[in-house]
This record gives sequence, structure tokens and C-alpha cells, in this order.
Amino acid sequence: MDRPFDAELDARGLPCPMPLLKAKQALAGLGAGQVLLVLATDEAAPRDFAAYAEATGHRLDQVEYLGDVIRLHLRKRVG
Amino acid sequence: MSRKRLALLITRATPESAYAPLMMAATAAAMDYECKLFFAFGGLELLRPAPRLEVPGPMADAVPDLVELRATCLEQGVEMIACSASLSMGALTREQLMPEATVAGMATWLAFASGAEIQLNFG
Repeated sequence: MDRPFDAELDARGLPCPMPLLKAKQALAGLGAGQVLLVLATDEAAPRDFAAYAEATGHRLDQVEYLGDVIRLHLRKRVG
Repeated sequence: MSRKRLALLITRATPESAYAPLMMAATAAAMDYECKLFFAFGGLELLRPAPRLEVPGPMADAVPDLVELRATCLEQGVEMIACSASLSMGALTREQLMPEATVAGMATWLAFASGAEIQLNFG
């Protein structure tokens, strides 16, 4: 919960695939190795973000559930 | 690593045949796929600046705005191609389509689709 991050994206209430699309835009503004915290309520988000990370080289460091909010720590790929 | 390719053929302008391919293309583009969408027959309607599409209430609450979703696709390099044969049928002209749309024929489409890992039809 206290894990550090460099930027935050509030995607709560957005249906798939919007959290992922907005995360991609948000990552563009970050440097290599920086972490984007995504808040989402779409229950498919953990699996979807894992597939996205696998395909793009970013890393899904951690997924936490706080009530009905899912907190995804997405680390931008290096290189 | 060469990019994977996504080829979608859209032949009607219904809520399902509009949203399914655009959501798929937007997500695939975010995952670095090369995406081309070929709009033929009634699907051409989706290339108008403001498509005429009636989205039922429950669905409308759960999907993004169609024009915004389309813009997201275009920003990410998704190519949206109008079928030249469908244009020649006369229901719509090139001038009635959004300027970002390109025009191509079936051979162009087949050349791309035949090498695409994912090919789907929405009609």
C-alpha cells in the first residue's frame, strides 16, 4: 500500500479497455523504470494488464485489492 | 521483434460491429500491433465524421464515445481504410468520410490480411 510510484491514474469506473488505453498514454509521460499506479474497478484489469505488460515489455510489479478498487503498479520498460 | 498484425473487416454499422473492432484495434495498437481496419458496404458509415449509430441505453453507459475511441485508434497509428468498391456503389462518397480515412481495394486488403496473425470479420 505504501509502495512508491511516480504517477497515478484514476481509472475507477471505466470499462475495459479504457483503463489500459489511458495507462498507455500515461506511461508515455514517464521515464524508463518509473512506476504508474493505476486505480481501476474493472475486474478484468489484473489479467488484462498482465497480458499488456507481457506484450509490451513493461512490468506489472504488483496488484492489490482495496475493497472494490484494484491498484496496479505498472513499471515502464527500460530500453 | 517484428510487430504482430491485426486485420479487421467491418461490413455493417451496428453498435456491435462498431465497438468490437474499434476496442480491439485500440487495445492491440496499445500492445504494439500493426492494425488495419477495412470498412466495406454498410461499414463505411463508421468512417463519417459523425457516424449515425443508435447505441442502446445499457450499452451506451458501458462504452466510450465512438468518435473518441476512433480518434484514439488513429492517434496510435491504426489505419482505417474505405473499400473503394463500396464507395463506387454510391451510398457515400470519399468527401463524406473523415479526412483520416484512406481508400484501397481488395488486393491491398488481402496483401495485408494474409500476413496478419489475427483476422476477423464484423458484419
